[in-house]
Amino acid sequence: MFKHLLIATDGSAASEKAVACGLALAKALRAPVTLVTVTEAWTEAAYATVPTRSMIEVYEKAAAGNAAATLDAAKRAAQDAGVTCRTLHIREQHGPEGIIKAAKEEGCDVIVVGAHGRGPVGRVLLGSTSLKVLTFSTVPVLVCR
Amino acid sequence: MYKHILIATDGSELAGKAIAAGFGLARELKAKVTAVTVTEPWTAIVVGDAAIAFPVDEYEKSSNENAAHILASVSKLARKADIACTTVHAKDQFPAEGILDTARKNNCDLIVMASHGRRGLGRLLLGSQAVKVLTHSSVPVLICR
Repeated sequence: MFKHLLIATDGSAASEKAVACGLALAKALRAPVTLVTVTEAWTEAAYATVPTRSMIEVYEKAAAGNAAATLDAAKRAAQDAGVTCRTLHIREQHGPEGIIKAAKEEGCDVIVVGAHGRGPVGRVLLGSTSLKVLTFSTVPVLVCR
Repeated sequence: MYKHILIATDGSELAGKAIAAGFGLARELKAKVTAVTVTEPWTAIVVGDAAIAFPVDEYEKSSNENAAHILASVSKLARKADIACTTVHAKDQFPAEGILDTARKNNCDLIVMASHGRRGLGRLLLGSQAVKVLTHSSVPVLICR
């Protein structure tokens, strides 16, 4: 069965479900996990302004801080569950590409994602990142709710 | 962990991957398995003049035979894998609805299915029924590719 799970998280409540779901499965299968979070590069498109070096630095510091907090929380959950884990922060990528790249690099044979992340929720029942991961992944994808 | 896995199949090779994954998980997790195949309503398949050439009772007969054949293959694989597997033929529904209904009626806590059906592979990046199941499911879904 699955030998190495990749669990993707962005720190959202939906991600927490994916982490819990992925860890429970990993534990039952006695398999290790890699916990990954992806942060995008600063883009003019997002902020509609030409950056100064200091703006980018502020952004990247915040992004790294958020990523570390997200991964720490997930790692603690893994330790509580008694699951072997490593954490990975993929930078300067879009979510889906980063997740798929992480799975390849880590040699994971299944990707676990939530149904959606931090993005505009409400009526969105399946987030764009989850959908893109599903569409382009070459390994099975478990979408947790 | 998962106690009752629903595996959806349309008899395609890709569905075979979902069956293998579903059985693998069931074995490790000691879960029950139900396998479902869904046949669409006659009205969805047959339109206009074709309706005269392929009357409803012939369609029903052929659709029942196909379903029985698909489910017999699954049962055979289940026996070989030493997995207890119940089979269900959900009729007169679109695949996504049939899958979701069967999951609900049987209290399945995981759905395992292929990313594409027979018609979609080669044409779509992600099958339409997979997207529908993912969007409306209240339980986790494992998409196999």
